[in-house]
Amino acid sequence: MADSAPAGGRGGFRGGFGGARGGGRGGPRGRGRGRGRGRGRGKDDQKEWVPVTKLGRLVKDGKIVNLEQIYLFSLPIKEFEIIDFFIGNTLKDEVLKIMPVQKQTRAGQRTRFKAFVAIGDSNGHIGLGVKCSKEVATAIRGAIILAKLSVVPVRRGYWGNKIGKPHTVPCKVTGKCGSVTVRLIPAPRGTGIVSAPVPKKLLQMAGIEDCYTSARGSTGTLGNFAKATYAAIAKTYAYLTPDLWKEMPLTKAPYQEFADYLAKNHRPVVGARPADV
Amino acid sequence: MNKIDLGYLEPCEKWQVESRLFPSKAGGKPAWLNLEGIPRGEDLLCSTCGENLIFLCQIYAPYEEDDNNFHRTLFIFICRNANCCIRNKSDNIRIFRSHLTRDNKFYPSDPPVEGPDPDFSLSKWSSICEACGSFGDKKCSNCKVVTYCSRKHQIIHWKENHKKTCGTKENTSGDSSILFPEFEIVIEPEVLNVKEIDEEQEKQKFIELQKQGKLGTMSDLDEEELTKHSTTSNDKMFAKFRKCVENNPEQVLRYSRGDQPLLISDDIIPENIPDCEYCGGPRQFEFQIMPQMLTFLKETQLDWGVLICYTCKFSCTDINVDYKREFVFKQDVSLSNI
Repeated sequence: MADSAPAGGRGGFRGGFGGARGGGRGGPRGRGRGRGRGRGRGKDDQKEWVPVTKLGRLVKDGKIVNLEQIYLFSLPIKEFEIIDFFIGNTLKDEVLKIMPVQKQTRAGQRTRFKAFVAIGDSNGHIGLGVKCSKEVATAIRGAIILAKLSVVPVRRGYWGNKIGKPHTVPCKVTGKCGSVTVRLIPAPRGTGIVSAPVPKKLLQMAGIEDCYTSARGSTGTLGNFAKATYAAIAKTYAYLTPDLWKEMPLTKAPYQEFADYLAKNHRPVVGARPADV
Repeated sequence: MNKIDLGYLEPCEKWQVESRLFPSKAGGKPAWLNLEGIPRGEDLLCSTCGENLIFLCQIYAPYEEDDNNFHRTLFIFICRNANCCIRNKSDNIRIFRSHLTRDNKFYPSDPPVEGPDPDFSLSKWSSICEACGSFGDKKCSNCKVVTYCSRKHQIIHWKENHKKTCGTKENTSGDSSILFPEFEIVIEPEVLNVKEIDEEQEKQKFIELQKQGKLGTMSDLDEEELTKHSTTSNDKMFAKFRKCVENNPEQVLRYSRGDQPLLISDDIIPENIPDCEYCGGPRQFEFQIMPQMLTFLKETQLDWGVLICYTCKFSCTDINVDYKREFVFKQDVSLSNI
């Protein structure tokens, strides 16, 4: 390359990281990226997901069979694309509320927008997220992502006769967080969901048609009511109902190498005691 | 704030990442800079398990104002044993720094020609282990041509490659299975889409939605009612990390000498960085390796959040050690929910 070497420059040697930009005194810095994949072109949705956590990598490779396997080991799900990968098509989101929140600053009031979004697939998965942002659209998008990250599985069962599809919780379960205890009780068909408006919406979106609920404690404490409800819902899977009494052979995880990773990193589900009857 | 350079992995030909072209690369064997003082086998043993460390990546990052650092490359080695990967501890990772002046005995003082050069070979100056690329002077007793750094590597290489070609003139070209797949790292400046948000416009949009009645199906409910049941983000550091990365999701390396690193968790923050052991001067942040590299290298056993590398601020060149140790800090993704 016949570059005339400027005094003090690199004289045609290519620069490295941290050097002058582009073809200035530093000379070209190696080849550019071939095929210009995506940067600046196209919309955000078209960018392929590159996982950042190990669980994300396992999911993208297809080494995890379904979402329930992740819940079984209580692994923290930090990338919403993991949920999208398994049940993305069936999830329906519903904006519950958008409201302006104002903060007093020296230059007047600063307005941001808070969005509540519930997400569920009417087939046993439910989540609710809240996000505050300067733009309405960003708040809604952020809330959807948080809702996906907070998805919990809900197990449904019958109140009495086992005819038709499961329509209620399989047994009485309670969840506790702080001083708040939430109790879900099976109800006969046609009862509907008897509960405060928000848990009612959540249970409906999860696919539960009939349920009695009872809440106790200072439900005003932020977050505790939510966590207690989620804990109660999570217990539906933890409870060993009689139909599961039959002994089943232990299935071996398809890929033992990372089943070790799953076993190493799982945190025990808090309070897996049988629900009071 | 400094401008940040991002590194991306690109597939490449073998000749494009040879030492004479001063490459930045990941995987394969290291393309050594200073071809004489190469780290020996003992320097490259994992302190936890005693296995050989394998080459992960190198970056070419000269100091443009300093003639002694006209050529400057940083090499990172990692132990491939998954048990050595302890959360938030970086004992299984090692980083070396090497530098050369423009006039040196290994490379011409003029820029190299971008093309294959069959005459070039590292073995002219030092014997290189065929399996892992570090210094190796134990010869294959059969053909007395190929060298290795340790018995283990000789056995692995024999089974995979050398058995078929020992004694013949053929070049055992395939990379051994202990190495990572080979890529070149290309440099691009970071471009962030920062848009100005007009508060008045957003308020208007909100009023529009209000008129259309699209403020949500439970818009009459109290904020408190809803917040009781909602989930917000708990791991703020991770959320910030994701936000910064989402513009350029394929980045594997962030370079910004002297700046602040982009942390992935606040479980453990880098502080008390040790000073340079050769000149006593302070160390500063130079670059960090992102977890996306593991995806591109198709690595399933090892795991990290970010590998933050600190190097001597003055890039000291006095002491007669050709490959100087630097400091790396590993952060793992926090295990908290969301």
